[in-house]
Amino acid sequence: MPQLNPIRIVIIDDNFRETNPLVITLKEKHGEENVRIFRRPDEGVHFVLNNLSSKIVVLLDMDLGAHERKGDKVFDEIRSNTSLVTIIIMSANLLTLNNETLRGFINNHAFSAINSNDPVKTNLPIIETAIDQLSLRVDCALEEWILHHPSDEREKPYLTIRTGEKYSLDQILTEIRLNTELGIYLQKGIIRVAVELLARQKESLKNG
Amino acid sequence: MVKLLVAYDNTDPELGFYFSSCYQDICDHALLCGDFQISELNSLHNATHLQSAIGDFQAMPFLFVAYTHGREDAIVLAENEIVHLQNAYFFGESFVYTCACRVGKELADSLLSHNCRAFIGFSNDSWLLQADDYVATFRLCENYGIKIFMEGGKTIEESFQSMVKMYTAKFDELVEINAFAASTLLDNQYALVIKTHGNGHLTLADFISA
Repeated sequence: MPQLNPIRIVIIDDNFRETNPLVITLKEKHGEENVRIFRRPDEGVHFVLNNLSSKIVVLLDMDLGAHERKGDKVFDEIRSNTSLVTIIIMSANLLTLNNETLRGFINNHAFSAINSNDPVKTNLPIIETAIDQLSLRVDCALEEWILHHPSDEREKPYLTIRTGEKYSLDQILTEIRLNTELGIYLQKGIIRVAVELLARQKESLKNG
Repeated sequence: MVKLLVAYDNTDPELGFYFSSCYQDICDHALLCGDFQISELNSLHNATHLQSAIGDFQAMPFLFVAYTHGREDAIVLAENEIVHLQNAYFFGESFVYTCACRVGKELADSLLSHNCRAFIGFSNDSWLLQADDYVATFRLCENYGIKIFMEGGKTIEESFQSMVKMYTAKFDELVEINAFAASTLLDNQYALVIKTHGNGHLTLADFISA
């Protein structure tokens, strides 16, 4: 079995400090090195996009300071590159988010919205649920499986579809990350294969 | 002599090469098996040509095989609907076998209501992952049922069951090599349908004509 990649928790917030009780608790649970705080959104996005081989939960603050982009723009930037990162929206005042922004979050699968002023006992279970969900997703499992291959193998043509287009494992990964029609088809296919193999196993146990 | 009418879309931009290879495969097999009279419809032909070809059979039983695209209510050859609900009555006393998508629904029912003896095909979209090495596997599976039937020793129902077994065997091989390709083969297997109206016991001998 391949070694499972650890969960990484990325906090993009200009006010979060290492001494924040939520940060301390998350580091205790998931390891010091797996919880990263970025005050500047560019650095946070850069880190996320360069670590797509890890399972990542992003805690994204909506108000990143006067000179920075708003959180919803950062959200869009991450989502345009991958649908596999789980994003939790954070704000000190959730009521200030306008309808259009909220609609964008829901339509693009923001996992949850939390109030950054709420106590750890309120916010931690939401973050832990997001982490559990990430482990249960077939797309994430596939991503992990693909990234387990050596990079030169991932670049070779792996599948040709009926239009004649060839896809390497890396390109398949992109299709999965961006949730394209092919990406969804391949994910459904893998679920079918898993169910079929499980059913066969059950049958052979019965007959054996 | 068994009359075998084969329609194949040889100029389809995506799958023309595949349909043509299936056609070649069935012709080669007919030669091996013996006494077949093969008629061909390719992408230059339409429903009028089909009517004329079936007319030549003079109401004798025949096998019809189609390597084309399809819809729930039609077999489509180069964008022409060659078999549809209005001409389904041409297919009395025939056995229709096709790899066209979705035809196993409405059109298959209509064919059988017009005394078509049996239908084997797909009830859903059938996918093909070319992945070069795998084309032969997909063709082998898709043609397996009709080829077994053409050999004469098995009934329509037994030929279908042999085909399902072949899909399972090839899935088992493929899943070790490429799980995505295996999933597509499995998808096709799940979409397979046989409709016989009680004619599943028929063999090739029941399709011999003068």
